[in-house]
Amino acid sequence: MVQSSPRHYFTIASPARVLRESVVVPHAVIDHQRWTGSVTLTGEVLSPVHAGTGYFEVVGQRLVRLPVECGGRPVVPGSSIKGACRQVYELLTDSDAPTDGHGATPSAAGALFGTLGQQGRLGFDDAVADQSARLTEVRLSTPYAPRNASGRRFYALPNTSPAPERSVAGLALPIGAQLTFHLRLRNVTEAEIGGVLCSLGVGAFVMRLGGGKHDGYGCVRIDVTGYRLRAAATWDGGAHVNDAVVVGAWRDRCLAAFQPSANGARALALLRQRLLAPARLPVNAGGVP
Amino acid sequence: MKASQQVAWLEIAGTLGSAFEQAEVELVAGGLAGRGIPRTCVKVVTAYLERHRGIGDLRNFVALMPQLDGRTAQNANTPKAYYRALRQVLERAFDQHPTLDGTAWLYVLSWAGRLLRSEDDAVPQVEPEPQRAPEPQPLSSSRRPRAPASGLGAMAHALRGLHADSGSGRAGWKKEK
Repeated sequence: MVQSSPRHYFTIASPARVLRESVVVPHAVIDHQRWTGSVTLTGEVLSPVHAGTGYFEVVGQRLVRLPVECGGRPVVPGSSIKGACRQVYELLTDSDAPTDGHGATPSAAGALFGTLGQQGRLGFDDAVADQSARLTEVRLSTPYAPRNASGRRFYALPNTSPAPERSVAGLALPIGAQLTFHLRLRNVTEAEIGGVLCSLGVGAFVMRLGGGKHDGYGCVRIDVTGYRLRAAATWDGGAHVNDAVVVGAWRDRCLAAFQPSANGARALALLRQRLLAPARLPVNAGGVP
Repeated sequence: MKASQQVAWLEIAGTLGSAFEQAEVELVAGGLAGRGIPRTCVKVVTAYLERHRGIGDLRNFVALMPQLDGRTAQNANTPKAYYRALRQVLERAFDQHPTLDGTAWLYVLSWAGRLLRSEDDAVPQVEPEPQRAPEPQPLSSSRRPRAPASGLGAMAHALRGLHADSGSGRAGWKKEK
C-alpha cells in the first residue's frame, strides 16, 4: 500500500492552563450591554473546496464523491465552519478543554460556542456558493494515518503539486467561487465578535475548510460584508449595514477589541506567517494546487 | 406493503446481514485481515439506491465499488478491502434473488446494514471458531421454532407470528399472565 507522505501541516501546542470564563451569559433575555443579530460573511475560494457527503455517484465508469448540497446548490456546512473557527478560537483564548467536569465554569470558547449543558451564543449558516459556480472534479488522495503529534494540526498553504498516489474523484467548488453565509450572534461583546472574526482569518490568514486539506484543497479567504446587530435598547433598530466603509471600520474595531492570550498571540503570529495567501494560489494542470 | 412480503424481505435482510458479518475481508495490500463489513460501507450502497432505484444501475455501482478500497479516509496503516468483500456478498445475493427490484433491495439492504456492527467493533479474528455438532433435540409439532435472540431474525420471526395470527388478533403480542 502506497500512502501519501505527511506533508503540508504543522502543529501548535495547546496551552497547559485553561482560562475560564467567569461570567456565564444567559440566553433568556437580550442583554443591553451586548450585541445580538447577524453578520454577513463572504468567502472567496482560493483552492477547490470539497465538503463531501461520503456518498458516491457513477460518472462514466468511475465513482465520484458527492458534495453536500442544499436546494440543489453546493454548500459548506455551517458545522464545518464553526468547528474550524472554534479550533482557532480555543487556541487564541487558551480554552482547550470545554469544561473540567460537571457544573464547571466553561472556558471562554465553551461559553461562546457552547458546551455540554451550555448553549452556544453563536451559530453559522451553511455557506452557499453563488449560482455561477460550477462544480469541478478533483482528485482526493488517501489521507495518511494519523500521527500521535501533540497540539493542534493546521494545514499550511500548498506550494508544490505532488501527484496523489491513490486517489478518488470528488466534486468540489471551483477556484474563484464566492460563498455567502451568516454568523448568528446572541448576547456577545465586541471583543467576542472580534475573536470570532480573527479565528475565521478575517484580515489575517486563509481559512481551510472541507476535505483534502492535505492535498491543498479548501483554502478560503473570508471577509465581512455586512451586519445587522442590535442591543435591547434599540430593538426596533438594527438596520442592515452593508456600506463597505462602515462595515470595514466596524470590523477593524471588533478585531482591535479582541485581545488574545500570550500563547494565542504567538499562535496567531504563526498562523499569519504560514497561512497568509497571495491573491491566487498556484494551480497545476491537474487541478491540484 | 404486505406483511408476508415484509417478512420475506426481512428474512433476506437477516441472511444478508449474517453474510456481511461473516464475509472475509482482505487487506488492500493482500492477505487476510478479518471478518465483517462495517455498516458505513453498506450505507454507501443504500444512499445510492435512494437516488437510483434501477437494478441495472445498482449492479453497475456494486461492480465499480472496489475502486474505493484504500482510497477513502482510513484510520490505520493497513486499509482493508471492504468494498471488494461487499461486492462479492451482494453479487451472490443478486443471483439468489433475481426477482427483487430496487425498492426491495433498498428495504433489504437498509435493514441489513442497520443492525450491523460499526467498523470499530468488527470481529478481528481470521480463523473461524471450531463448531460443535448440534445436539439432537426432539421436535415438538405443537411448538413453534424458537425465536432468534435478537436482530433481524427476531423481527422476521415476530412479523411471521403476527401475520400467522392475523385471524385471531394480536395473540403473539399478548402479555403472559
